Amino acid sequence: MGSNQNKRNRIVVGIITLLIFAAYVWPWYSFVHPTLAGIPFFYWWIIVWYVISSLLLYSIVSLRVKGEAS
Amino acid sequence: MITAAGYELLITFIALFAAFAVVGFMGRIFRKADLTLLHEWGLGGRRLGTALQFFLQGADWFTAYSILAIPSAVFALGAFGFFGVTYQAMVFTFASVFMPRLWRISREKGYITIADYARGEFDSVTLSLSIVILGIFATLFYIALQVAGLYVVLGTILSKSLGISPTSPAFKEYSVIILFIAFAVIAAFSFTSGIRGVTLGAVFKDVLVWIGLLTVIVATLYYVHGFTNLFSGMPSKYLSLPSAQALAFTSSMLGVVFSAYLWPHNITGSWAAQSEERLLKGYALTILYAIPLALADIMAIAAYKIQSVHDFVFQLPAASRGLYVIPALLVSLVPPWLAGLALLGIFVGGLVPAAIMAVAVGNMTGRDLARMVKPDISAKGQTQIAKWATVVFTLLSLALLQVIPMTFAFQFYLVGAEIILQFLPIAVIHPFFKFIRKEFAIAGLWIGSLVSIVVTLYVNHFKVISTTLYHGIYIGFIGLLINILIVLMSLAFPKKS
Repeated sequence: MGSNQNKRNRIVVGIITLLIFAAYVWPWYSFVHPTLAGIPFFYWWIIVWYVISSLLLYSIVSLRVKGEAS
Repeated sequence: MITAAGYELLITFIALFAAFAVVGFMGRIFRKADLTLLHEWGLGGRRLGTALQFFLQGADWFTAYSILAIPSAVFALGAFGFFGVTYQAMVFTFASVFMPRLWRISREKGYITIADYARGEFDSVTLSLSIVILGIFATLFYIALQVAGLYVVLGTILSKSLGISPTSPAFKEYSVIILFIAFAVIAAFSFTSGIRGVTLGAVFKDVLVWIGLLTVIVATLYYVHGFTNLFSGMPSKYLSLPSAQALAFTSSMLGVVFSAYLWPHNITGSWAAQSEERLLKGYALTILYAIPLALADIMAIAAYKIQSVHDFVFQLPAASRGLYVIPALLVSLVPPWLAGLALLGIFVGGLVPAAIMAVAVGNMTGRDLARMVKPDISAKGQTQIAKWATVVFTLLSLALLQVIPMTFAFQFYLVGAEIILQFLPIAVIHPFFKFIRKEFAIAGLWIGSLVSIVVTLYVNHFKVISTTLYHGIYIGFIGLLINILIVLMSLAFPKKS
């Protein structure tokens, strides 16, 4: 209910947004090893983070919708 | 003449296209409503739930061109080409930041297009007109790009079934006729059922594309015996990104991330969501679409490994070779009926986004341009104009492609994205910080767009556009920086209130 709750929601949303950008925005993950089932790290890191990003964004939907309501 | 396998390929393709057309026309009776109202025709009554949002966004964003062009880039450039899928999660993360607010404003005030929003929020017809002009200009080339993908699919089908090579003059004649039929079908169902028909078409398209991509992945891995063999012996630029390309990789990605959901057709798709919650869930799920896409992109490397695919691809001119990699994998590795099914998926994967773009332009024409000419136009009149504009625009983009050599289309898309990026202050900054004055918004939009185009031409020595990077920086950002500086000048002239 209170603005404290709203504020906390916004912080969580902000952190997750930054986390997804941090995972991708600069190609610091451009290595070959460790490979996963023969896929170089560069490629599998990008693909694994689709699943993580999707789950994270899905899980904060309710925080966003509530956080925005006033 | 025609082999049994070629016959099978052709028949599957034609039969499924007919099924696609039927599904599209069913949009008319899907969730029946008064389709003479623009928000019903052009935004599907704003009633799309999470699942339909997933399909529509997937169809909207993961187009025929991305299914063909990214593997093409990986095939030619290696890991750098992978930037075209690396940004996917960031695209939807960024859209989740600003689109809910834009969605809410559009719902509350009844806006149907981004030009509509600009007119209402900034109280400026000039700004609205500027967005219509720049938006239509950029979108026209985006559609032309989809048509480039359609040519590749037809090139594969015709050469495998009837033995007509994509480089022969006969191919040009056949493909123009086939594309005209395909565009007439898509224009007809956009006309009759608007975004509803397009959404049903999108479900059909997405299912076939998923099957197609999974087929490519499984068949290729089976033939090359796993990823280890696929990558073995490839030059190092195929295994990871050379560090010299890091800046270009990042700035190319961000150029797309910040412009993706400012395209008028992506805004149309998003505003069709039933609620903020469903819009956001749709975005989160759409990221999953990138998984098969990314894996299929990696399979492009197999064109160097499998002899039959190598032979098919390398008989073509170097400029278009890469685009044929995925179709070549399909026709070489899987049974003809399955190849036909997957190729039809890619084909309608070009048609459906083209239709969404045409509906978005129709919305802008009926809603915004028509009201400028005739301020007292009725709601039905707006819809009528929107429908006809959609048809005209669809056919215009097909005609445009007969004039522009296709090799340049991708560069036009990147120039288009530079222009669309200039909408950012209006659509993303304004809803959060309401300080922008209309005079500066208009000046920023035009100057940012013109600077981007001029710098792009300059970097390419005013010849054929082959890059949109300036010392590794995406040129759209140079325009955007100037645009934002101009917009910030609004602060020197506080609003009287």
